[in-house]
Parts: sequence; structure tokens; C-alpha cells
Amino acid sequence: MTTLDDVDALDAVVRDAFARTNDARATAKAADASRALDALKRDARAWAVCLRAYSRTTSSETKFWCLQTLTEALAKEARGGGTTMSDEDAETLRRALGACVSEATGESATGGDGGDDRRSSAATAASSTSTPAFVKNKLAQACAYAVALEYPERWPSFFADLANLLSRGTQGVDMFTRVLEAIDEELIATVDAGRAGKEDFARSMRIKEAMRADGSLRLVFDAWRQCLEHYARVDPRVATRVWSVARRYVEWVDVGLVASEEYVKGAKECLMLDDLSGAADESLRAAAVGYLHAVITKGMETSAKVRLIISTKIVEVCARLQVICAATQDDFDEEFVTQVTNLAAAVAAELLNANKVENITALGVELSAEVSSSLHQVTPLVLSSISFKHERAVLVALPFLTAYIGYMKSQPALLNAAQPALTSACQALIARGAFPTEHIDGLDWNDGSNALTQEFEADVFSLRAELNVQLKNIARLAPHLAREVVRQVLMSAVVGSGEGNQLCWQNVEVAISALFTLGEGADDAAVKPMSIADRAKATNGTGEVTDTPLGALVVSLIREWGTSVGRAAYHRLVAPTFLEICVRYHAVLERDDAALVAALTAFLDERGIGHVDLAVRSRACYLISRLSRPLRCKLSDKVENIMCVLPAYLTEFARSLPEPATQNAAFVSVSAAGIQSRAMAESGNDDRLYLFEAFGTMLGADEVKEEEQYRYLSQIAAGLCRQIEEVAAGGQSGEDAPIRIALATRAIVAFGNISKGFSQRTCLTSRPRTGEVFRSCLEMSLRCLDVWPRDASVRNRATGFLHRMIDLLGPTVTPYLAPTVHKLRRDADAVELRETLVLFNQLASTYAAELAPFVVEVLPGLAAQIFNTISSAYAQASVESVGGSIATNTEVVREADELERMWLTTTAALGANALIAPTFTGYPNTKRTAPLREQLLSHLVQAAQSHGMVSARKVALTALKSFVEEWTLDTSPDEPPSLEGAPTSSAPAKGPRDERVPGFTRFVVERVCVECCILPPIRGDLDLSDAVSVGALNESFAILAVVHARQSDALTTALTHIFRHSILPSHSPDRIDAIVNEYIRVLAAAAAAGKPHLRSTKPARALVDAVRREIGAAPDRGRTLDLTPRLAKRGV
Amino acid sequence: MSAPPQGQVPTFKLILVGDGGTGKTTFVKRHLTGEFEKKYLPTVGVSVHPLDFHTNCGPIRFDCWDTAGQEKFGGLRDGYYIHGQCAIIMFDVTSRTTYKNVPTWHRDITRVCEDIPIVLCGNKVDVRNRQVRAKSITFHRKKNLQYYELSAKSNYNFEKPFLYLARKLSGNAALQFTESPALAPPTVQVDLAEVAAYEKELADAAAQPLPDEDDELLDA
Repeated sequence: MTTLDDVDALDAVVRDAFARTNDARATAKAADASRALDALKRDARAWAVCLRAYSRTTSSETKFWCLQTLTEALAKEARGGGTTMSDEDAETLRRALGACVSEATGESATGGDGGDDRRSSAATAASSTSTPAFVKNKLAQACAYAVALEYPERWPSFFADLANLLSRGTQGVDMFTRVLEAIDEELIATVDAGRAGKEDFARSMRIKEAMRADGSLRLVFDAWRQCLEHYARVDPRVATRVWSVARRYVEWVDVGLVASEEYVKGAKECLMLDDLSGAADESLRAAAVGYLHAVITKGMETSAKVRLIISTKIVEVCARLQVICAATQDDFDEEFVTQVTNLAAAVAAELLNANKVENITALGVELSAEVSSSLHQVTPLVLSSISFKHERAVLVALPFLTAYIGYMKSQPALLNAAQPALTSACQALIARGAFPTEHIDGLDWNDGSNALTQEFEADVFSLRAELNVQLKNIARLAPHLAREVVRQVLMSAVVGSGEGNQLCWQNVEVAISALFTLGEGADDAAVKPMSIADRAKATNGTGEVTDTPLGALVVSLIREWGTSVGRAAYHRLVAPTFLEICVRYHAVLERDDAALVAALTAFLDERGIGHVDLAVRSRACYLISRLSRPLRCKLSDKVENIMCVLPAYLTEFARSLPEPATQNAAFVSVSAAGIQSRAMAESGNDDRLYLFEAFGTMLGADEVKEEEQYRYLSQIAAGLCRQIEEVAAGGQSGEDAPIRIALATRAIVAFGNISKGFSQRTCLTSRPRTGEVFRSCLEMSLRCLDVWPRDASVRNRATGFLHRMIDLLGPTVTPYLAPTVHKLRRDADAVELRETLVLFNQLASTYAAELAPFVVEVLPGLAAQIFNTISSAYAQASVESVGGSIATNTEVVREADELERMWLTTTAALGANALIAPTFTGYPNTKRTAPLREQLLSHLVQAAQSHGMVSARKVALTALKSFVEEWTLDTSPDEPPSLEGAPTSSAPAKGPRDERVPGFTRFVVERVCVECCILPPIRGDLDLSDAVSVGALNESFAILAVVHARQSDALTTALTHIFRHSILPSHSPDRIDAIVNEYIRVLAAAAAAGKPHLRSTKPARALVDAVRREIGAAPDRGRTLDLTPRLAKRGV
Repeated sequence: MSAPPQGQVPTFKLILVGDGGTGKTTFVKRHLTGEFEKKYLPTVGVSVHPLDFHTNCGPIRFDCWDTAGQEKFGGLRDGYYIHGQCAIIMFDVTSRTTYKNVPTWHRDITRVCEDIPIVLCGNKVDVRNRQVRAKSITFHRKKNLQYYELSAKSNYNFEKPFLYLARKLSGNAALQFTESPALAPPTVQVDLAEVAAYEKELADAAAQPLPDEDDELLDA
């Protein structure tokens, strides 16, 4: 058993507890050691013994553990109000801690309590010179908790005792600052930050008050001042530490102390404002700046703050610091430059606040003039920080700019005077967002696939995103100013930044990006095409829009792009930005033919879709598809020229598969928050295929001549068809099958993209030959289903294109539907059948009753296959199950469940799209679909009364309702016509007067009404606090309402029979009649309420509840129906 | 990935801290076993795992000291941080308390290890009901820490904290990992659009002035 008195043993245990290897034995030993230490800690007097052990051990880890034990004990004692520690204990603590601190600062300890003195001295001698920082900090933490516990009551001289350390040189000052830092950190800052409880708050207040009252604060600050005076030159590290810790106290110590003349003077001396050599200690400078920042941001009344700023001449300090930073900023430490910016921004923010109307009037004439003048001086200093190389410094300056712009917005009168500042801000924002021009090892800006390049690129875009926020703010405040700056940047980038024709691409890129940014949200005709009414209004009815200055700037850039920028225009980061500009400012292209031609040229040559970089090519394809839509009319007379170039690219892109995504692709697409952010295409797609959309959009315009349209369309379509033929000729399988499938699906996607530019009117009415081309494309894409019937991508793409063609070619597609469904369902599994049903449902909703011949042809076979698939899945699950119970969570059963639910939706779709009558009645359909009808209805009844999912029950009930409405014989008497001769709106629709399907009405009354609508709710299958369950109940009552309207007597009889003989046989006939009458009353009220959405479900729910209660209270005797709930789970 | 022989590889002690249940052990296990741990088994004391990475400057090893987040399982607590050379503080973006305690973890680390590179990580960004808004996360800016959003479940940003620390420790800002560590396939896919929105929110937050003290932790 380890004891704390045996230091060697304690050292060994601590050593074991700290040891960590992968060795299981060592791990077990460490766990044992940890447990042994925990056991030692549990002793109530452990803290006192630890203090003794501390002085005797030479192991830093053991010292740390002793202090940890002590700290925990003191913290616990402090939380308990210090009730268990006697005065004698307090004295022991005081002496022992003093001894520990002395030892840590290099003095020999004398405060031990009679242990092995020889050994203790040796330990002290060994540790005095090299007490590690972690031990010192832990000791400081222990001291802080001693303060919490003992100061000021039992240890009023704590701070005076602490100040004695200063006589021990740097080690003493070091320990002095560590303890003061720990006191703030553990007892004050934590509380101020709201991370402590009420007791901690009270304790913090008590300590602060005591320090103020007994002069400890003055003592501490005097001590620090002396240290600074002494050490600033001799040992800057000590002075740096003093500033950092003193800074923490600024917030709550009296301003007269923290901003006294001596302190401000001391700070300025440490800043060495006249030293531009860069030789001064940067950490010391940064710490002193940090202290001044804390003083400037200290909470106080506005006039006091202004006086402080003036008296400390802090603006002048900022100016001189800025000069120091600007002189050698690249070589300066990031921390120093950031702190300098932080100080200037804080001063500027304080002055801006003082300058606000609500504050300035209280300052008086003299002070307000000072504020204005100081603000005028400090603002350019902050704004110039935007140019600093260190990103942190830039980010620190931006919030002030936000505040400054906000202030200017509220003071338009001052805007004129602020123009120089805003101009320089704009310039700095743009310049700072540029890609760096210096060489960085391993970085090649021309290689977008390089991981390092991608990372640096993301960094540039991420900083630029923040700079752009400010640029846009300025542009909103002063559009003309921002525009002028951008114009100048463009001029200098495009004309004057390079030698000869070799412009610096970084300058060009940042300039055109700025122009792009300017257009975001700009209220300008250059980016916002006017409506006809606005245009007429703005031009006095002439309709001629003269270009705005922004528009003119864009036009001149675009027109001269080809000639003035040279090779820079081809750079992978420049080229797409220019294309983005063309898309954003497409309104100006609409009005300027020369610019339009220049833009198109850039899109179509090696700066766009022909660029060497794949990412640029893809982006260009996407962007040209965006551009072509608004400009399609304008482009119609250029189709011939465009088509000289486009087909070659179309062929190339159709035939080239995308490269596998690089590892960093996701990273770039997400992090590059600039204009390079990802296009619409997700993985598995390829943005290059957008070129087909552009092609279709341009060609599909009515203005394009029919002959021209047909020629180009059929040329490209034939190429794509050929591509499919070629790859299909290779057959279904083979090594290259995946590639051939990918090429086939690309061609199908291309068909679909082209078709987006065409309308049904064009394809069916005005230019039927165009429709013929698309029909041939459809045939070809459907052929892929023959070759690769099982491939999911082919199935998806082919059915997707079929959907598109249904929209475009209307009824002319119907001949393809049945064969396609046959292909899709051939050997299809549950998932594929489900997809086939999706297609079927969409066809039903598109064509409605017109689809009937197709339904009659396809549905019987399809339904048989579906029922077969579902039952086989359950049979298989049953065979595979253990112990006879079906494992319902297998993939096979899940797929079968989903197929069944989709089938229920299909049956509901038949009713919703008026397909019941044409499919199931009339010669010869009745005969062909009779078996399906029987199977379908019996499945619906089964699902509606006992399906495990309540949502499926609801769909089944909806489908049943359609059949009930369609076929239930209406025996209700004819209503006399109303006075106006029109039927009342709330009356339910009349049903057929003859039996359309023999026996159906009886089936409805006896089975649908009873088994599906009455029994499940009263059995308790439905949870009526769930919305979907209530929906199912609603459908049940809707069916009952229809039947009640048409077959009132039969329904009443059936209800009476079921309640009297099967559910409540022990009830009196009167009571049964009362229940049935209640049903009838609720149904009549529902019918009177009219449309379902006007009905309240409350009466139905109340009725079900009442009946359930009655059943629960009645004896089971004579009941012939099993009323055990067949619970239906919630879910969609 | 076979571990390089001990002694030849630059090895750094990495301390992994944060409240209980923030996903520290799961995060480490993504590398170690390639397995996403769905169950929560609290770490007792500390568990040390060597994590190896290959860089363009050679291999590097982090001896990752995965510490107990729960106080009752603390063991030597901050004693484990002794001689730590770098640290990761983890919180859970779906639990405000875990972010609120970040300053305490930071203070505990810096008390024992002065001036070591520290990464703050917001884990579980794949979870829909995020409770710590991206714009409230400003602690890293005050203390000049690096911040990353993570999803141990989807491997999102898994390597980022290690890459940052490796660069800081090697003093080489251009250091790259040349091989992906052996990771399990993601259990969920992070919604990239949602992540992009968070990143934008973070960028917007970076442009805002810092709260005076730790006030932001109160309404996090």
C-alpha cells in the first residue's frame, strides 16, 4: 500500500500512472497506479500531506500530482464555504504554499514541517533552477484557490507576501505574474464570462472589493510598473509577460490606475515608436499594444473615453505604429501587426461611436471637434491595414469598415467628405483579394489539379469573399465611387500592368472579379433587364435604353477583351471569370451586337469551351447554357456562325467520359466560396453536357429558320444516335461494357438537354419535322433498354428522357409506352417494378382517361407480376426465417413492402385520373380486366383493413373511395330541383342508376363499409393523435358518407346487423339503434358539410371514442368478431 | 498502413480533450480501426493511440492521448497533458454546453502546455438539429486557434486538424499528406450544400467584431 510519506514509492506510482504504451501489462499497471492515487486523494488530510511530499520529491510529475490534489481539495473547501479547515490548517497552508513558491523561484524552502531536511534541501537545490512551467502554473492555480479560501480574512497580507517575490529577480517576477494571472483566470474571468454559479460570483466580487479596499491593487500595479521600468530593456520576455497579465486586470480596475500617466508612458516606451529598424522585440511591442487596446476598449462613459483617447495621444501612437508596420510589414510577426490593426480599429470604432448624433451633442464644441479630427486621422490608418499581408490583421480591420459604411449610410451629408477614405478602402479591398504574384514552392497556378494549388486557391477565394462583402457595401452606398475605382483598376490591369502584351494575369483576374462583384445586387440596367413598362417609363416611351455607366464599362471590357488582354485571357482563373461577367451582364449584350460577338467568341474558343483545363471547359459549357436562354432571340441570326464551331465540341463532349474525381474535388467545390463555386451538376453528371442544352436553346428559338433548325438538329441527333448504335453493337456484356453504358447514357442525357430548348408547339404543330427528329432520338434511347435492360443508369436515363418526350411530343409518344413498360418489367425485380410503377403513375397523371387503351393492355400483366413478386418475397422470407416467424427487416421484405405501397398509389391514381370506368367497364375491356379488378379490389380491402402502415391504409381507402364513387348504385330518390334549377353545392355527387359491376354494391356495403371503414377504428388500430391516422379515419367516413347517400337503407341494415350480432350482442336493440343512428347522424352532417376539407374530423373521432368505450365496458359474451387491434404503425 | 519503426519517425504527443460524448474516441477510431463507433463507451482516464500520416516531408506520428471527457472518469486529468506538444479541443455542435466548456478545456491545456498549437473542432456537423450556430463560434478567433467543423461519422474534414498541426510542428506551411489515412467508408454523407452554408456563415461571423469577453458562449 503506497503512502504519501514514502516519497520514493509515491514517485514510482505516479510514474506508473503516467506511463502509456501499447503493452497490455503496462496499461494494467497504469490503471492500478491511477486507482492507488485516487485512493490516496480520498483521505481528508491528503492536501496537507501532499504539501509535505511536494517539498521532498524531485519528480516534476509527482509535484504536479501533489499540487493537483491540493488544488482540488482547496476548490472543494472553497465551494463548501471553508468550514472544515481550522485556523491551524490555514496557517499550515499559508506556510507550506509560501515555501513551495519560494522553491519555485529559486529560494531554499524553510517552511516544511520537520521532514527530512537534508533530502528537502537537495530537492530544492535541484528544482530551483528548472521548475517546469507546468508545475509553476499548477502552483499558481493552487495559490489562486488559497486566495479564494483565505483572502482577505485569514490571509490579509497575501498580495504583500506575493510582492516580496519581486526581490528575487526574474524568477520572482515570473512567479508573481503567474499567480496574478491564475487569480484572474480562476476566480474573476470565469465568473465574468458567466461560466460560474452565484457563489462564485459573490466570491469574485468579494475578492475584487477587498483588493480595491486594502490597496492590494495599487500595490500590484505599482509592482508591475517597477518591473516594466526595470525589465523592458534588460529582459523583454519578463516585460512582455507583465503586460499580458496586467491587460487582464484593465477591465475591472479603476481607469486612474490602468491608464495612469506612468503606465501610458511605459507602454509607449516599450513600443519604441522611433525604431523602424525592426530590431525591437516584437512580442513586447505586441503585448504593450494589447494593453493599450484593453485600456481603449474599457467600458466607460463617452466623454471620459474621448478624453482618454485625447490625453493618451493614442491616435498619434497608432499612426507611428502603422509607419513601423508599413516599413517592414512582411518581416513582422503576425501577432504584432494584428495587434496594431486591432488597436487602430478599436480607437476608430470608439471615435465613430462618439461621433454619433446621440453622443456628440453631449460632448461640447471643443471635444466634438477633437473627435471629428481624430476620426479623420485614424480612419485611413485602419483602412490601410487592409493591405497588410497577414490575413488576421486584414480580418481585424474589416468590422470597422462595416461600422464606418453603416455610419455613412445614416449620415448622407458626410458622404462627400468620406469619399477619399471610401475610395482608398475600395482600392485596398480589390488589391488585397488578388492572387499572390510571388513564387511559392510547389505551387503552380496553371495546374488546377494540384492539391497545394487548390488549397491556396481556396484561401484566396475565402478571403476575397469577406473583402467582397465590404466592396458590395461600398458599392451600395456610393455606386459611382465603387464603379470609378473598378474602372481605374481595370484600366491599369488591362492596359498598364504588364510589358507589351504580357499582362499580369493576377491583376486582370482581380480587376474583372471586382467588376463581377459590382454587378451583384446592383440596381442598374446593366444587370437588371428592365420590364417593358419600366423601359417605356425610363425612356419617355421610346423604349431605347442608353447604357448606364456600369453597362458602358462592361461593354468596353467585353469588346476589347480579345485584343487588349492577350495571353492573360487564357489563364485558367481569368477565363471563367470573364465568362461569368458575360452571363451576369447579359442585358448589355442584348443591346450591343459587337460585345455579343466578342463574348460569343470567348465562349467558343480556347478561352471557353475549348480551354485546355477541364474545369474551365465544364464551367464554360454550363455558363453558355445560362447565357443562351435570355439571348436566344438575339442569337438566332448567329446560329450559322455558332454552328461552325459547336458540333465538333458537342461530338467531343458526348464521347469523352469525365475523369475520376480527384481527392480534393469536394474540398474545392465547397470551400472556394468565390465565383468558381460548383455549378449545378452533382457527381455522376458532367457539366460539359450543358453544352447540349445551350445548343438546343439557341436552335429551338422560333426566329431560327426551319430549314436551318432541322439541318443542325438532325446532324447532332444523328451523331448521338450513331454513338448509341456503336456502343450498343458491342452487346450487353464485355470488359468495356461499363464504358459503353456510360457513353450511351451520355448520349441520352444529351438528347434530353437538347430537347429543353424546344416546345411542344414547335414539335407538333409548326415544325413537325423537328418532332420527328426527337422521336428518332426517343426510339434510339429506348433501344438501350433492349441492350442493357438491367442497368440502373440506362433505365433511369431512358425513362427520364421518355418523360421529357411525353411533355414535348404529347400523344404521339403513346405507341412507345406499352413496349417500354414491357421492356422495363421484363425480369424486373421489386425495385425495378417500383420504378416502372412510378413511370406508370406519371403517365396516368399526364394523359388521364386517354391512357385507357394503354392501361388495358399493360396493367393486367404488370399487376400479376407485382402480386407475384410480393408474394414470392414473403414466401422467400418465410423459408429463410428461423422458427417460423418472418424476419420483416430484411432487404427483400423491405423492397416488397415499398413495391406494394407504390402499387396502392397506382390504384389510387387510376381513380384520381378518371381511368376506372374506361379500364374496367365496356366491351371488350370488362372481360380483359375482370380478373385484375377482382384481385385489385380484394387486395385493396385487405390493405385497408389490416396493413401494418397507416399511410398505406389511407392510400388503399382513397383508392377504394374512387371505386365506390364510380360504381355504387344510387337508389336515393331524385331531389326536387331548387328554385334556380341548379343543384345545391353541398349535395354529394349522384351515382349510377344501374349496377355497372354486378354485385359491387353489396360488396361495398358488406365488406368495404364494415371491414375497412367501421371495424379498424373501433378495434383501436388507429392512433387518433396522429395526423395520418386521422386522415385514414377521414377517408373511412368519406366512403361511408358516399354509401349512406346512395344506399342509406342498406348501410343502416348492415350497421345494425354487425353491432347487434357481432360486436355488442349483449346490448339492447334500443341501444344498438342509438349507436347506428349516431353513425347516420355523423355521416349526414359530413355530407351536408360538402367538400372533405370543410369537414371536421371531430365528430367522427368522438363517435369512435364513444363506441370504443362502450365496447370496452360491455361483456365479451356472444361476441363473434375478434376486436383485437391490428395496430398500424405511423410512417409515410 | 503499417506503422514505421519507432524512433525513426518524428513523433508528437497530441492531447485530445473535450466534454464527454463529443466524439473524441470515435474520431480517433476512424483512423485506428476504420470503424464508426455508434455506441457510447466513456473513456476512463486516458487511452493512447499512435496515428501515422505520410507527408511530402516523410512520415509523422501523433501519439494521440484520448482523454476522458467526463470528470468522474478523469484519472490524472490535466496530468495527462504534461509534455503535450499539440492539442485538439472537441465540442459537439449539437450540444451548447460542450461549446460553453471549451474555454475551460483551453485554460486547462495552456496551463500545462504553454504555446502549443491547438485546433478547435466542432464535431457532428452531419446531424440535422445543430444547436451551436456557426456564427456563434468565435472562441478560436479570440485565442488564435484554428477551427474546423468535423463529422467523424462521414469522415468530413477528418485529416484537417492533423494537417494543420503537422504544418505547425514542422514549421512547413506547404506540408501535404501524400497518402490518405486508412479510414472507414462514411456512414452518412455530409450534405455539401449545407456545409457550404455553414462555411459561409463562419466567414460572415469572421467579419463581425468579437464579443467583449466570453459573452458569445452564453447565447451559443
